[in-house]
Amino acid sequence: MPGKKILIVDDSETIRQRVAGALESAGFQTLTARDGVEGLVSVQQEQPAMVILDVNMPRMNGLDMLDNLDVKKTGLPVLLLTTEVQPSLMARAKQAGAKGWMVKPVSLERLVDAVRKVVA
Amino acid sequence: MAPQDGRAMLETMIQSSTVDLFHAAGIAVGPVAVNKVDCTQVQSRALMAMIHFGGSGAQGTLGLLVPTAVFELVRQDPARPFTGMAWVQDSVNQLLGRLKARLLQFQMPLQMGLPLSMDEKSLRALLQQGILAAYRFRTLRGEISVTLSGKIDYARLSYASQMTHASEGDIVIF
Repeated sequence: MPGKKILIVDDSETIRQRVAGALESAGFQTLTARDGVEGLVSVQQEQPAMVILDVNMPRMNGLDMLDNLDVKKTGLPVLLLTTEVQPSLMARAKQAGAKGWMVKPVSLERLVDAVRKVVA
Repeated sequence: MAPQDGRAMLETMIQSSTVDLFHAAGIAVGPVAVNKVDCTQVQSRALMAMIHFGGSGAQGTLGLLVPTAVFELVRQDPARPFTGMAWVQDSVNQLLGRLKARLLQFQMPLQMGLPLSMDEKSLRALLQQGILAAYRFRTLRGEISVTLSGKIDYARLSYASQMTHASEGDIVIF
């Protein structure tokens, strides 16, 4: 499992750096993108093993990116990482095939554990 | 809920959310006082960010003003540093996220905008529009401020039920 490539899509530099640092310490490779548009390009070009995806982002939000990824067909695991807690948004993500929902701020240890479970 | 009760409750939410937010970052903060109308108490800081919100019964802007010395307390991975401006934007986003989650219990759903950096000019513009409240917090490295501007119909706040949604730090695997 270590060495697998994880794409982090978040408009927050702080989140990108923190999550990438924690995952790299756990042995994963990381890629980052700042919004859904960059994220889709990165998925096509880099073919990550998993995506960690924010919801509120400029240009293309995380739920729209999730729809575009069509993960029910491709099987690409996606975990949402967001401040949003509305059940309707969680239900939309689940319906679109996301593997889970994490509410910021999440402890980095627990986030790495969740990634290990989902990417396994 | 009576408007004055709703206002007091929102103030408590903002104060507790701010304390929790900075505590999560390893920074101890204590509320100083609530200054409801005197915007002269709001001092410009090196790191400032704001985020707009909207919804039925509430529309406005939340601001966060932090001295650089406080940011220096934030734990960082030296191999993956982030800037103070990025951090304060992320912080104001997370602060509004916490408020939004609490307000859901009171039947006031909010839509969040994207966090924006704030400079002296935009702070002045915000203050000229009129702020509803300015909340000050003391830290070991100086004061931080949270500003709330816009329109809030406090009378619409109505406690619905205990939380049935996820909260900060939760990981839900589907």
